[in-house]
Order: sequence, then C-alpha cells, then structure tokens
Amino acid sequence: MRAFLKNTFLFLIILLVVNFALFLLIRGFYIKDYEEVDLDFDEFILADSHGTPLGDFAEEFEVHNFSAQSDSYLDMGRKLRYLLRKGKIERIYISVDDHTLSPTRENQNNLDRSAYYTERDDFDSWFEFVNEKYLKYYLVFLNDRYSLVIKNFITEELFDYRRWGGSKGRIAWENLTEEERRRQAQDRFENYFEQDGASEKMRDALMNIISLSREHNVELIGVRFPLSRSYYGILGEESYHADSIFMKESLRILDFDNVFLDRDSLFRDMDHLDREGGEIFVDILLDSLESFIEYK
Amino acid sequence: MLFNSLDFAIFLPIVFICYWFLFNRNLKAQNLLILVASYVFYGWWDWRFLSLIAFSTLIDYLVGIGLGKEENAKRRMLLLTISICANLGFLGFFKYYNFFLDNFINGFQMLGVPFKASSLKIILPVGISFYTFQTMSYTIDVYRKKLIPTHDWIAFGAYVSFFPQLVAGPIERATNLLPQFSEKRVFDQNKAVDGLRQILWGLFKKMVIADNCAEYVNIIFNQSESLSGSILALGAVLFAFQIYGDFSGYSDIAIGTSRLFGFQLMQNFAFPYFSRDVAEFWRRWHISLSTWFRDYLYIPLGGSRGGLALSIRNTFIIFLVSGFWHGANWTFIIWGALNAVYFLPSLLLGKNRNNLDVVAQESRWPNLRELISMLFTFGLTSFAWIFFRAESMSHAWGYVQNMMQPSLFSIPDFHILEGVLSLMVLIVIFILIEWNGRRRQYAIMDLAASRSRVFRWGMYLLIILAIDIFGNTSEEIEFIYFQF
Repeated sequence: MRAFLKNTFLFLIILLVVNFALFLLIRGFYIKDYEEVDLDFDEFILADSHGTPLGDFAEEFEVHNFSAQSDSYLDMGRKLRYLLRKGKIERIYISVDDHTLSPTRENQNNLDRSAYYTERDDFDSWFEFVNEKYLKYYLVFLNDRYSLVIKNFITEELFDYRRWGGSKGRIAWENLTEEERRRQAQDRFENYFEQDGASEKMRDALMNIISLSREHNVELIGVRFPLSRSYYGILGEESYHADSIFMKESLRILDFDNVFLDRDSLFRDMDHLDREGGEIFVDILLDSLESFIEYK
Repeated sequence: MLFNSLDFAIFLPIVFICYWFLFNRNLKAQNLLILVASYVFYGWWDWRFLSLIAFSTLIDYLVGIGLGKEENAKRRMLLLTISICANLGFLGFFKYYNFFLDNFINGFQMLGVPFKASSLKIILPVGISFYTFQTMSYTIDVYRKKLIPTHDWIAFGAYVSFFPQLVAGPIERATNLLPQFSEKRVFDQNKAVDGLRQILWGLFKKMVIADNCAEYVNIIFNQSESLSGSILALGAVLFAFQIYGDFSGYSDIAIGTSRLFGFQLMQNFAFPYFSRDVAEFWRRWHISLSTWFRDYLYIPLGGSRGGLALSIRNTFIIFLVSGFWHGANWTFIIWGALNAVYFLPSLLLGKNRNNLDVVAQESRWPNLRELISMLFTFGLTSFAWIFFRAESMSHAWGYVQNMMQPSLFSIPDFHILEGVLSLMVLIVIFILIEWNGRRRQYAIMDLAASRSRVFRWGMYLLIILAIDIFGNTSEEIEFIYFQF
C-alpha cells in the first residue's frame, strides 16, 4: 500500500509539472494578449470580436480598444470593474449588436481569461473566487476552454482538409461566391439565434454594467458594428435587443450596422471588418461621435 | 453518479481510503461500506429508486434462504417463481408497460375495435435491467443447487448493488461475485495499478471516442432525410464506434474500479470488431449478457440438442429477447432479429464455432482473408446498429432507404461535419492500439509488462492529455446503456 501511495503521489506531481508546462504554452498564445491593457487612457472600447479589427487605430482619438474575441457582457463587466479600480474612466463604447444578448454567449465567452481582472469582491464566495481566479486559471486539466483551444489548434490547423488541396489560406470574403457568402452567413446566424429568448444572464450583466457606469459617472455609449449585406439580409429583424435596453435607459447608441453594405472588400467575413475596414470604421465612429456631441 | 464526473472523481478516493485504511481489518465493515457507498452512488441519481433495489434484494435474499431449506420440488419452484415474477414484474412495469399498452391500442384499432387507455409517465430506473438480471442469476443458481444460499445480508446487499457495475454491468453471476464478498481482501498493488490503468483506458474510450462520435452521430441521425448515402453510411460506422466506446468503456471503468477494491469481474468485451463472423462477434460483445441468456434461457429451451429446427427457433428467441431487453421499441426487436438472420448461415453450415481463437493469433497483422471477413462482419453489425440507434421503425427505414442511393458511393461532403477528419484519425489510432492489445483483457494491459517506468508513465500522461484535449469534458454525457 505504501508503495502504491508513493507512486500515486509521484505521478500526481509529474502531472502537475506537465500542467504548468502546458499553462506556459497556453499563456503564450491564448492568455497573454488578453491581459494587456493601457491604463493611461480614460476612454475605452469594450466589444467582442467586432471590436478587435479596430486594433489600436482608436488611440489616435485617445481611446483604448479593450475588446477581445468572444467577450460577453460578463467579461466586459469584469473589465469595467478592473478599470474603475485601477484608473480613471470617462467614457465606454460598448457593443450592443443584435447577438450580444444571445444565450450562445453563456458558453462562448472569456470567463476563464477575464478572471485575471477580478478580485475577491467580484464573487459571491471565497470558493468561487479561488476556483475561478486560481484553480481554473492555472490548472489546465480543470479548464475546458484551454483544452478546446489546443483541440481547435490541432483540428483546424493540422487537419483542415481545405488545405490539403493546396489552398493555403482562407478566400477573402469579397471573393466568395454569393451562395457561399449566404451559406456562411446562415451558419453564423444559426450559431447565435438558435434560441428564441435573450439570455437572462447576459441581460443582467448588461444591466450591471449600466448601473456601475452610472454609479461612477462613466458615460456609456452603445455601438452597433457594421455588417455585410449578406448577413444583414439574413438577420432581418432578428435581434435579442441589447439596444432596446440602452434606449429604455436613455443611453446613446451609434448605429453603423448598414454603413458598409456595399463595401464587401472591408470585411473579413460576414460580420467582422478586416484591418482596413477597422481603420476606416474608427474614423467614422469617433468622428461621428464628435459631430454628435457638437450637435447636442 | 457518472463515472466521467467530478462527483465520482471525489467519491472514489474517499471510498477507497475508507475501505483500505479504516475498515481493512474487518471484512463485514468493508462489505457494509461497499453497500452504503453503492446506495449513495445510486441515490445520487434518484434516491426514490433505492427502494426498488432494496426490495429486489430483500425478496431474493429471503427466497435464497427459503430455497436452501426447502426440499419439496413444488415449493422450490414456487419460491423461484416468486423471485422471477417480482424481478420481471418491476422490469415489465417500469420498462415495458407503455410499450405493450401502445401496441395493444394500435392492434385493437387496426382490427376496428375502439380501445382507450392512457399511457403512464414512468421514469425508467437507471440500470434496472442489469441488477434484476444479476439478482435473478442468484435465485436461479440457488434453485439449481449450483450455489449455497448466503445468510449474510450485508454481503448479499453489496453483491446486488455493487456500485462499479450496478447500472450498466457486467452482469455478474452470483457464483463468481458473491463468494468474493466472503473472502478476506488483501491490498495488491499490481491489481490496483492494473485497475487504474483499465479505468484510464475506459475513460479514453468513453470521453474521446464515444462522446466525440456522438456529436456527429446525432447530427447525421437527426438530419438523415437530407443527407447523402455516404454520409449516412459514415453515421452508421461512427455509431458503431460510439456504442463500443461507450459501453465497453463503462465496462473497463467498472472492472478497473472493482480491482481497486480487490474484486475480479468478468470480461465483458473482447475486441468484438475484430471478429471474423457474426457468431464470433456475439461471443465477444456484451459477454455477460450473452452468456446469461445462453445459461438461463437458451440451454433451458433445449439449446442445440433438439435438432436443427429447434436450434433455429431457440437462436431466434435468444436474439429477439436480447433485442427486447435493450429497450421497449420495435427497433431493438428488429435489431435482434437482424442479428439472428446474420447468425443463421453459420448455424446452418455448422460453422458457428469456427473462430474460437483470437484473430491473427500468431502474427502481427491479419492476412487478406481475415481482413476481409472482419470488414464484412463489421459492415453487417454497423448496418444493424442503424436500427438500434434510430428513434422509430419509420426513422430506421427512412435512414436505410436514403443510404441505399447511388450517393452511397460518392465522396462524403465533410462541410456539415466540421472536425470529423481529426476524429477519424483518432479512431484509426484507437483501432491500432486495440489491435495491438487484442490478446489481452483490455487494450493497454500490455503496458504492465514494460519494464521502463518512464515509458509506462509517459503513455499514461499521453492518454490523460488525449482525454483532456480531445475528450468531451464540457458536459458529462451519460452512458448509452444507462437507459437499458
């Protein structure tokens, strides 16, 4: 029995070492960028993948882009609390697209990574705090998202059959056939709009962001990001109405969802701008805000 | 409680430590711990159904004692009938009541006789088919005087509810498992390590192979009317791997867990997809159920002793009952009938006991003839699995019709099955590992023979990593056989 326990213990230690080796690997290509934020700014963009093409172009306008792919309102709430703790904020531009209250966001989010921005006060209990901030963060074997990241890397990079035919990369959105664009847009639509009602969790998280902003005199401005014509057509009137909450709360919304309907060359896919699109959009977004403020 | 859950990962070490450290000097206390742990394990799912197990245990315990005392043949038969009626009564009510009612209603309506009755909302208790068969084997063996009835109610209770194999087998015979509860168990490191190894392999089969196959199988079976023949054929093949990974994975975890506590359960799967004919397949698939039906139904019916006609009749009865055991649906009965039809040629030609050894026993790889016969047998069983997986007969029939189109020979459109190619690579690796270990009780058993600890532990780490990365860990997916 002694030998059995000794070997089991030794094996667990080795497992822990492997775990940390994997953590360092994952930290390098998955976590590190997420934890980068410039606290010298007092205006921030909080959005999901729609905000990421804007890169650092907004810094010309003294705005820091704090967006990350798959960020949910829960993640944005954590970031907002972090900013309130660490710096001085005056204005937040936040995504209020049709899909942001989707129940899909309950599973597709960054809660594993945004735990970095949390403190004990952000959780109801010590257990939740330790579990989210330390156990799931450092123990690769307990974090499903880390596994998924590695799995996706292997399946999409190593076993992507589309590359086997000699095609090295994705075909640009504007060069896809109309049928293919519609198919991809439909897939995207089904990912977010498969359920009827909005997510209560996301709605509550958005309401928390609104009340937190009010409490700290932070101006909150909703942004609806540009869509391609194919996706715009499929989306139609479908929405989980995050913008309605903003309107109800008398908050400003800058609606750009149809601004690039005839500019497919600015899109990476059906509803994400490419880098050039991001650069152009930043000018439109922040210029229009200035004129909006002047008009007001 | 599921084997692939965090609950079980906490539960098992606690029971293990209590078993070997607190109660290791007292056999009765160890058995009592197993009994309590087993009831907690089962009650985790739904505590209300514990009463069913307790009642079934009590009846068979008392019937066993009665049979031990009684010499009168008629009274002995009466006692056995009580036990069988009670056990099959539970099973019949919980599992088959609505099936028979619906079929009666449909039958009467077809005859033009109005017949009204409403079906009941019955929850099927997890594993009821397994533990009722296990406990029935006890009373039947005591009746046949193959086993001396036990007077130790704790040992008997622990035997009926033994948590590693309570909900999905292997269906242990009382003659094998019950005496183990009366013997002093001494901790054996080799057995414990072997148990952990088998648990690890079982988790790999379940979480990497079965759960990933399930994702695609669900898509394909749910959209079967709009997919090409080749995709539907792929769906049948993936389901073959899903059900094997799921069920044999459960058996591996059950056997491995038992070994941690010093128990030896029977082998339930012996690499069935490497079978060269259907008869061999059935000697290697769900062995505990096949041998149960052989010993308690086929042989009492006369087996193969009464001539060819009787032999055919008995074969059909066994396969039909086996199908019906799996579920109250015509799809399972047709699945059983199909397997009986597959079995028939070898029975008629007297070749049903041709392949008793392991394929390519003396060589590394199979020869062409073996390979073709294995592929042919796999094709037949995969086709039969369509009926097993389908929701209804019309679904199964539609699936088969859509599959048997010229598009069966087209290249599958993998667009709708993103990631399926990496799963196929995993399946190929899995097949190679299973092939390499086909002469053993489970595929990676040979690792024990490796002298290099670095190699052994490296392999374990690799399997753990594969489970972590490729396993479906985001949700705990139930084992398919829980529903039976």
